[in-house]
Amino acid sequence: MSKIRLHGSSSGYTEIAPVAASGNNTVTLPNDGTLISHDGNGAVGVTSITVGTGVTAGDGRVTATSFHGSAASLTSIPAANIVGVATAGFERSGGFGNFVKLSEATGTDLGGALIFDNLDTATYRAFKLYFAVLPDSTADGYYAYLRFRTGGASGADDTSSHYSWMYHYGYQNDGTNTVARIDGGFGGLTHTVGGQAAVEGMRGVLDIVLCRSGDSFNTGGGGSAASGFIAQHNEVENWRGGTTHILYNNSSTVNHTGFKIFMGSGGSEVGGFDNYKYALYGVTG
Amino acid sequence: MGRHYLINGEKVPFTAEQETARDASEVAAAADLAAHKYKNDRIAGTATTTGYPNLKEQLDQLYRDINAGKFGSDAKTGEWFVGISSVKTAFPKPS
Repeated sequence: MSKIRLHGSSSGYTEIAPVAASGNNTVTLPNDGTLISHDGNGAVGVTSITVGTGVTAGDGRVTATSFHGSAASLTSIPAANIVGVATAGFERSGGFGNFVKLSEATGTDLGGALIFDNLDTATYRAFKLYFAVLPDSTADGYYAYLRFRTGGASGADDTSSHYSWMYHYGYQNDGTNTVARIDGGFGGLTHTVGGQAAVEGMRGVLDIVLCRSGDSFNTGGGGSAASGFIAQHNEVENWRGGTTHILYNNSSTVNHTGFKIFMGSGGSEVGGFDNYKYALYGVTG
Repeated sequence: MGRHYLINGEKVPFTAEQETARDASEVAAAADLAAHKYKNDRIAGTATTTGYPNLKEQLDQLYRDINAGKFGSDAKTGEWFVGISSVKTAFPKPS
């Protein structure tokens, strides 16, 4: 093995030596007189790298005209630094922010009552349901009701006599009607709804707040509640538009995990819905 | 085909016990609705028969009957008739 030894002007030396099995290679020295640089503190290193014409690395940053490949390791990016407009492919399941879409569906044969169970009440303080349903032929002309449910995934109607409710609606021409009850086994959403697809059915928006563990006020006025707006045509196509308020008024705490919209009379359930569309959102908190 | 629930978007068939319970529920619902249907019909009418007019119109009908003397002359001196008449005088209907 041979070496080239360069002696310092005052002391010491630097050797250039090949590896033992070095092959046949040529080291071409740069023509600017610099082989190794160092910074102001004397640390040896390269202060910047330029790759091709589009990429530079140095001064604590990388500059490039475009990036490709997996970005799996690009984590902990401050949200404030993510700016711009996403035109495609930028989405999060359920959406962003505190108003999160939980489910949606549309069809022509719902077949039964509209039930939502096992809602994540620990994450969501309230729920908002946008819906339109058409009673099936069995339920044509019956009343629309709501019941809260308990039991999580194996949910069951809460039929206890703690529902205080009222709905108020206007009808043609300039008519009004109010129905109010206390301590019933169900909540009244609205009056009789017709089941002809072309001209009847009901549409509504409901805000639903379910009691949950950890709340300090889950009885009386702090009970689960549903309120909203419902527009409909009854069984003879008469128009009605109104509001509804349902409060689960119990002196003991009941934490609900779901709710059901159904048709019936006197609290007895009948039939179901044919045409339907709905979207259920959760409000975090 | 048997009934089913739609829970969180999934169809869940009734059990035999639930079918039986629903049969009874629908009989009860039909009986309850029949017992109250006349109220609904009176409020909003049916496909062939008109229901009650709105409350304003009903009261106006009553006023017109009193004003026409159908309840006797004393009815025209009552608090309600006098009060309504004073409003009508204050805001006369354009001729």
